[in-house]
Amino acid sequence: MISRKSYYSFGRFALLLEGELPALQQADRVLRYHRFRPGEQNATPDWTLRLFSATRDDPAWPVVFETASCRLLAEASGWWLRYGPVAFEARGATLQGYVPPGTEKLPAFTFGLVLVLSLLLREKGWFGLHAAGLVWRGKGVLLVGRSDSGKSTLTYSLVRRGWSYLTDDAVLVHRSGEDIVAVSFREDFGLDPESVRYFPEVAVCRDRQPTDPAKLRVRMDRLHPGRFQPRCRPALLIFPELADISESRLVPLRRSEAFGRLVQAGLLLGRADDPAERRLLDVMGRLVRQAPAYLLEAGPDLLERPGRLGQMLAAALPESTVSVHQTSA
Amino acid sequence: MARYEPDPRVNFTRFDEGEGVLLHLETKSYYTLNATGVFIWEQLEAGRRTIEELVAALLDHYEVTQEEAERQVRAFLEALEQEGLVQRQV
Repeated sequence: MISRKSYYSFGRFALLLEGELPALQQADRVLRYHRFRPGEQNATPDWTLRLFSATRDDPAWPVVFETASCRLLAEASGWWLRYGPVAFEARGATLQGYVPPGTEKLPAFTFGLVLVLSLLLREKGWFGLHAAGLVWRGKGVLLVGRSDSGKSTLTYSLVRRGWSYLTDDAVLVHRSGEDIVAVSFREDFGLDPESVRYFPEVAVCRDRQPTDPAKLRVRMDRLHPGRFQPRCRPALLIFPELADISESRLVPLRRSEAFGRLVQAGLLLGRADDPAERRLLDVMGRLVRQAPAYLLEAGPDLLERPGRLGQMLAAALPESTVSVHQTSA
Repeated sequence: MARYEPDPRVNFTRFDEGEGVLLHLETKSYYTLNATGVFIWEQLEAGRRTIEELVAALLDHYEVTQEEAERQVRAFLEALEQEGLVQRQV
């Protein structure tokens, strides 16, 4: 087998990836897709991830989080993530990934690795949020919600009308002094192939999105060059919900309601003994104090009259908030 | 005299409008409190753990009758206990 060692950076964090091909090649694709860039050789890494072509049984540790597809086990010395046939073990800053031969290209490896990255960043106080990010005249807007809430389509329609973007689906939020800042965790958009009806230019996109093969991978740097913003200070929170109404509208949300919705969209593991859990709630609480929140009841009129959404959001943006953080993410 | 201890797995977030949110970190259940609920929860966090102490604090802060204060405190604590947000210790 062939082994390799590669350095990556994400914001101020450095990751050393080492292990065997072909798992390493797939990991490289997933990392780049999530904006990890080739880093300085021999940098002191925050994390070291070693990948092995091997199968390992789960340790007899308590299960702290479980869904239909993944299971997280933890004890004082570290955690263990199982995603289908793939497993990752973390002890301090060192991680081992067990990727049985032939499973490198399965979604389980991609999803498992993305979750691992989210957990590592979470321990540093950077919390993943299911949200799209946009910037209009220096002010950040987050559209928060599940994958089927219309975020990507609405976000893409705004980019076509001159808005800058962070992402259509994945941001990380963290504290920067007294502010909460949102950072893009993925630049390319994932659009339903049907959206070609409204956005004919995406017909040139042939690749599928690695994390959701049902969607087109839209290379935003090619279709909309120069519009990417790596980070912003959110000034407005929007929670879109598809609605069968003729006239879409924004409904103000109380902060407590917005907080509940944010927590649902974040990576809350349900671990009372985990200090990161309370930091996450602190960050979400600060975010709803920083940015007013609205429910967007989104009807078909938003696609039929594409200028309307931009007008609604621009009108809801607070006047006084400025500052797009320009440092690299 | 029964004492009501906030469960250490519960996180409280207060907002300016007098509203607050309790989140049980293990069940991930989420509860919105009105201004009176926020006031009583903050009294619990400040160490006032009996019905008598909480009623006295409510009477100091709000213009309510003794009966109304006691009714509100008992109803609130009962709901908290049922949801596992406080533990009653006799």
